[in-house]
Amino acid sequence: MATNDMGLEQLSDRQLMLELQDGNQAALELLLSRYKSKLFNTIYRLIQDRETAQDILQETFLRVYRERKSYNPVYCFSTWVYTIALNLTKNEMKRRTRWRFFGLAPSENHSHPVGNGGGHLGYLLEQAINKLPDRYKIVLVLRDISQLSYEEIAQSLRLPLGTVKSRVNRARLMLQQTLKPKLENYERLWKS
Amino acid sequence: MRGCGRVKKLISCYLEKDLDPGLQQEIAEHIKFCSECYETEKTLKRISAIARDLPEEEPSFDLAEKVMEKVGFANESIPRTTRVFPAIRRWVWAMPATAALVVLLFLIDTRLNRDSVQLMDQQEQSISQQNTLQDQTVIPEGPVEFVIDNWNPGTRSQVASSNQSLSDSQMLGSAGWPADSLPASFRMYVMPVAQNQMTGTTTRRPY
Ligand SMILES: [Zn+2]
Repeated sequence: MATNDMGLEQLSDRQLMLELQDGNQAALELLLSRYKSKLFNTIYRLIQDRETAQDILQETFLRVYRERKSYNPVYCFSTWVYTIALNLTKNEMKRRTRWRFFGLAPSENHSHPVGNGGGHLGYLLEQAINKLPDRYKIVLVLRDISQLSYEEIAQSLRLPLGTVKSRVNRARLMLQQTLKPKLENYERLWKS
Repeated sequence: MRGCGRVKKLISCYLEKDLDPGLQQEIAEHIKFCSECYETEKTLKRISAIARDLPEEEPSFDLAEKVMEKVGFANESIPRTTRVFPAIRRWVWAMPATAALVVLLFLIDTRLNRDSVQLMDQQEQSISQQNTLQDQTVIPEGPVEFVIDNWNPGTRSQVASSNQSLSDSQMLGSAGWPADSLPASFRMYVMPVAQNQMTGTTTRRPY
């Protein structure tokens, strides 16, 4: 399957994976450019550490390359790549939970604290998300920040669709409880 | 109001208009007359808007270059990495260093305490007992687990058998430490070592 690089851009993700399976490394570069931003954003929102998120993303694409032969084109590439990235991310989250237990959690580099980027409300939301238990945090970030469909989340995490829906709902209600008084305070201050 | 629990279970699907029309309508009616569910709906909509407005974080510009370099370099056989991510790696050195420092301070403090207790008691016997115990200390080569049954420098402790596994709280409970008042890292690493130094017993736990 010899396709020149100009032609590659017209190909779907699936077709690019077939190109990669045939040894065309340019296909990997293109997949990387299509997915790096959304994957990085998802991983970063879960880990809250740029450097580690960058490492996980790099490792994700190395695995895409290494495991390219095991990719089955019947399935969606995005689900496959999210599964790889999320497995790495979940491992890192578990590791961090253990370290936190020993009181030695690495620092979390918030890239935009109060009044920057997402603004103060964004900051409040990030804080509240970080306090969620991991299983709720993951589905909430995938649904409400990465905007994945419930089906995509279920496939990427290999969870039943019903479980994903109820976890998202539960996570939103937890956030609602934490954030309600903070949002009200913020609005009161804003009005005065 | 009746039915609030049901509404809360379905509220995400309701907001995403993912329910049968009849059910969608039923929940809309409930929310119209229930102030609590109305407030919940309002806050959830607000949160969803804030989440959508969060800026998208971008990876560093040289990511693709780094990946392609590794792929090109290793080509068919990129080694499987069982690596520690850098953020964690930065902390690796800190743990033994901190533990060593605290143990040192602890030992100095213990030594002083022990000396003063011994002076007060004037019991030569306790000194000789401690000397004997110190001679029995095993220097561990691998990870070790300590179990101390009595917080008393003069009492020989019971040593856990090598296949016995005890939880953190069991270890602390048996030691009589005020477990909750200390940080987890101190409880897990420093306390057992310090206690062991005082009673002079250790046991090696197999890998
Ligand atoms: Zn209600």
